[in-house]
Amino acid sequence: MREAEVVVVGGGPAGLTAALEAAAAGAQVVLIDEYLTLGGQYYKQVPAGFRITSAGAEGAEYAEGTALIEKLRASKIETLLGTLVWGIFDERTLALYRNDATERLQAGQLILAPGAQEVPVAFPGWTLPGVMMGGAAQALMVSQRILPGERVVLAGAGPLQLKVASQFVEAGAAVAAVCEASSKPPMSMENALRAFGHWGKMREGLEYWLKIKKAGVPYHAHQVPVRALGNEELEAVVVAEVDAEWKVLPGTERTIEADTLCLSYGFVPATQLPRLAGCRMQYEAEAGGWVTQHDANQETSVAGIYVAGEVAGIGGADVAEEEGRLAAIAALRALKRIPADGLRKQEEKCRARLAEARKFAQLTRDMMRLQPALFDLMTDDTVICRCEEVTAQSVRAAIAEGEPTLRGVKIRTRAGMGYCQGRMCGSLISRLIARQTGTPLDRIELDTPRPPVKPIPLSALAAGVDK
Amino acid sequence: MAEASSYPDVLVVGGGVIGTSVLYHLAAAGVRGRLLERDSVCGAASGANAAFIWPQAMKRKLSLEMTLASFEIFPTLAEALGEDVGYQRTGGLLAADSEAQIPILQEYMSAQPGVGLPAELLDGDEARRREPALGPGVPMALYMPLGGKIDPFRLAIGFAQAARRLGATIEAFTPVRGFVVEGGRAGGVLTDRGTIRAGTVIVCAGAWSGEVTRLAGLEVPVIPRQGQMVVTEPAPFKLHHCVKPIKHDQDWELYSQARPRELDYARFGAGQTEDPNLPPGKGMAIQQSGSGAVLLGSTSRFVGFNQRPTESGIHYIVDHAMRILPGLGRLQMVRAWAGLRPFTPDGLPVIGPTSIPGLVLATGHDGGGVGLAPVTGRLVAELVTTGRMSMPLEKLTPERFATAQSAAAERRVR
Repeated sequence: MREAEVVVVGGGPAGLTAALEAAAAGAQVVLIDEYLTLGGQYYKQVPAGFRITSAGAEGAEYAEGTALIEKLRASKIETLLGTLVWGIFDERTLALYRNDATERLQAGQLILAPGAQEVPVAFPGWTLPGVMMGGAAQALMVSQRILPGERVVLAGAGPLQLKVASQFVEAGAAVAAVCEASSKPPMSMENALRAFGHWGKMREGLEYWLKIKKAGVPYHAHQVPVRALGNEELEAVVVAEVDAEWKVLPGTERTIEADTLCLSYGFVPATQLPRLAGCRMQYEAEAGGWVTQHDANQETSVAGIYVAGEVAGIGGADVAEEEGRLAAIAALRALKRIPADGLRKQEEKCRARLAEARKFAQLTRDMMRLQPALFDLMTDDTVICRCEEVTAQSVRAAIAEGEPTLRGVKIRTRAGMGYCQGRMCGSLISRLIARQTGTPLDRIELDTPRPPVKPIPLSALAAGVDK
Repeated sequence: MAEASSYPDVLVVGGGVIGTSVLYHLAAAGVRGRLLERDSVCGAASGANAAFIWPQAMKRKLSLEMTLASFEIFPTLAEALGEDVGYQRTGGLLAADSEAQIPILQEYMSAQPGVGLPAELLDGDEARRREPALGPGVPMALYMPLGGKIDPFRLAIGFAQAARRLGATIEAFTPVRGFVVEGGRAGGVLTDRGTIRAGTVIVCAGAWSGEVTRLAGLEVPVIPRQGQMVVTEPAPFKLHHCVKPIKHDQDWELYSQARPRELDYARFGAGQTEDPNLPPGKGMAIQQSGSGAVLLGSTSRFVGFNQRPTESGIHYIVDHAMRILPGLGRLQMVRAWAGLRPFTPDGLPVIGPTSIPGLVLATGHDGGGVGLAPVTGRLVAELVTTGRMSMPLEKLTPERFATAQSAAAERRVR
């Protein structure tokens, strides 16, 4: 079986800095990513065969990302791209799926940086083609130069959708509306004052705001989508006003023609891998819900396994990069690659930058905080589990009849038994349980994580038999 | 202060297929029951299996009789419970993956008349005619018409819901922490939320039954035997039977453990051990569920209460399955898990009163619990209402281990 001193899973901001930090101290590092390019979501790269012809066209973080990736290529780090870590077994043994076969990799120290996933928000018609998440729209536009649609409505909470809206404008779409759920939009005085001092961020936010204003994009505060209309695909979006708690105000609905509805209601940590590895989770509403528990050195409840980036709590790329470095330093010390107090100065600088980055992250979190009423938009016939086509009505009946748990709902309705194994519907079902029974979200257990973290072909398993 | 008349007549500990069946059959006989489940109803072995009922697996005559008795009950359940439990008589096909396995099938076939069950040897072509998904390399298969599949979730939930309609109550996430034993008689259990009294306590705790009964001071040899499972995405083809590969034990000894090292057989007097790997094909099954997904299993290991699948266990299962159903290769594995069968040294369930009046056991069904659930419920209802069971009590009683124990001790003394 293959071995590596430090294995980093995830090639986004946290994974990149973790791998670079570990390699700089001379450790043997393997970096694994599911995609064929590095950079994760934040530093999304264009696919092979494409070239960026005008520098700066892709934005500041593209250049930052490219710089990190270049540094990585120049190092001794071995990267395994197009490689899925489908399981983590005892003693930090990873099961990989790549090149149509499975392999094992034994990690000396393991740093998990798998990132986040977007929060699904369900309402009637949300499964129509044309309804997508902000991150998906960005991926299409930024890395593949594909315009997802021509007439777009954006709906979400917080500043990130300003960026997506601005990207749509840049790409030539007609943006029919940007709907912000809260009454205090990002560009309000209150939020601007809180952002004071984070000049780079403020400038960035202002750039997006000016771009969409210049294009005449209507921006509405305290509005949410209540219905997506269309036969076989999206044709129009019905939006409505909400009060301070995001409860829909009757009689305020209006219909906007659109072929694309882009939802940006924030992120949750993608905790499947650390949970599979036995790492304990803790509930932090502010940080996206269930996050991987870790100490100040990024080490989880399982010795030798660390987390960095969004999986440790939603905080953005700057937080992720510092956490990546700290995780690497801790791993290096555990391996005795450096003495117990090695890289002390480096560590201190990291922590100082991390504290600063966390301050701004807190502001963004506040602007992205979701009100429970958002999850009342689901009606009885709204599909909750898309893989098995289970409606909210079935889920509600199961909650009422049996145990108010994800497992109880699963065995009664099949919700969560499909391809995504609850990745999409799990949080929606938790919300339904919370609303129906009054159980706080931190008391609703997640379903037991099991391999494979994503489906893999049986032929790959038969091919790679490593007894 | 609760009065005696408000105590449930019976407390059932364990909410799997056995516990819910017991609760239902008691309720149907007019006995008020309350069920306590430590985790989730249908959460352990009942929710982790391949959902196949295979009488031919029963080497012991009594297990066979019990399974056949259950078979009589299954078709009536849909009406009784008002729930379609997905019962279907599909039959089983034990398939050789190579010429080398042909003698195994032939030997097993010749033993069938002794067991008293119908079986038919098919050559490869005939086997493929009846089950097109079988690979071209399968030279022979043994067709066993007795055998069926079921939806174990619907079974347990069906029993539970019907029991509730008849006045029973069920509480999940309520582990039993101890027993109330007063004047030598079991009078209830201790939970985190206080004492619950009942006239009779019936332990249906599956792999946990040994641990639970120990809280009352009794030693009953029911221990967990782990089995791993894999499920695929819905298949574009249909599997008409339960298809069973024959284990390649010599390659994978680790996953075919027959005897737990930690069970003191001499102590429990079980001279003969039920080998969980015999007859051939036992313990391995490929079954298509109602959704079209294919369930693949299983393995056998004694690893305590560990319910985590292993990478090599997954390979073991997939490897065996693909040797006879190569078309599975294009399906994706969606999930792997492990369940804990309640293993007993002699391979028979443990059903009957213990040496503590008021404490009854209905457990130890190993890998056959789903099939044996209806008849077990019926037997326990008979026992509680009449004091007698319609099947040999002396073979199923928990006391058989104590008897064997003292017999063994006597032999040592002489």
